[in-house]
Amino acid sequence: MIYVYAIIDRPTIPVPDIPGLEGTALDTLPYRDIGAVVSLSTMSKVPPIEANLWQHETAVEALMTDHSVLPVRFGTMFPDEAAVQAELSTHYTEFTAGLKRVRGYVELGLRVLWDNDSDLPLTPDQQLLPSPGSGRAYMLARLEEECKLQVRRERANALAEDIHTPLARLAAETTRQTLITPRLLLTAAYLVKREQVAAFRQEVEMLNSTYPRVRLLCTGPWPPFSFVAVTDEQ
Amino acid sequence: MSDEQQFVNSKLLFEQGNLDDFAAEMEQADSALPRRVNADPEGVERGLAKLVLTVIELLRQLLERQALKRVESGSLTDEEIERLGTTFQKLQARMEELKRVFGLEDEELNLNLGPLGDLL
Repeated sequence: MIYVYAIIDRPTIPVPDIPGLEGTALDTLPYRDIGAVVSLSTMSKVPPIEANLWQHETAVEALMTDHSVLPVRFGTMFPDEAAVQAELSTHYTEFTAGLKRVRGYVELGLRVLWDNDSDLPLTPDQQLLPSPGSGRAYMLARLEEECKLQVRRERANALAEDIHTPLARLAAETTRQTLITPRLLLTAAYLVKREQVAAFRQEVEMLNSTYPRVRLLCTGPWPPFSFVAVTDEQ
Repeated sequence: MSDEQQFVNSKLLFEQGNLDDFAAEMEQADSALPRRVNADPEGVERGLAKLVLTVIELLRQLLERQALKRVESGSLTDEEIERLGTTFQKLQARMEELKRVFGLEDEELNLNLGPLGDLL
């Protein structure tokens, strides 16, 4: 089987001499002016264990030194070289456009935790079970709670917007989700020019001191995982 | 320090507070909706129950919100509110029972209605 790490531009530049999964060498399968970086695998399915995930990530990151990179999702495999070539040919336009889009850019991740210390509930109170027969009391209690939740949601969205907006100004593209869990106020990814990473970090620091009730975690630089759509199901 | 730890540290551009707190929340976010049902012979029943109960819980919450909207707008009589309230109480009690039977915690059926919440 052939394991795929990434789609790259400039396939004639040799890929780094680092081991891929199962310790096998990385190789490039070129197609016109792009290529797929692969290694041979004896497995039909690579288990998603920590060591393998690191290996995949390390390989993709090493490629970023000399190439524009579209990272491929962990575990993507093809039966043979011809199948990889066919994939490159089918999606050639998509891949070249994607490579152009991410050239010179890296992904930065942001997670914002909200330490809710107000009197507003985080989630509907599941234990709210008044004595049987008081259906009306139940509905009114739920209504009151729902109003509080609504206020909290609105506050959360406003706060997430305040944090996201200045960072989005430093990014070409962004993705974001608000309140995936009651405490996870914001989960976002930013496609940032490599030279802008320091400025981005500074902005995060500033936001952190501006909003003492939230905690920020900024990670990267990563391959632009959130900003590419590479077909993976085979 | 292990290579992996070094790698992790090199990826932290800015952090405040305990990373475990972030990890715990992200784990919960990932498990909110099962992407795949665990099809191992031992886990399949619980996996399916989790999926089905998650959907039922979603519907229950949607219906309840719809009812609350109507209570708020004043379009229901006291008697209707009473009946609705009793129904939802019973539904909730039954859900608790099912969760207990399958050994599922509230967090495992954690639903983020997200933008859907705004649609209602």
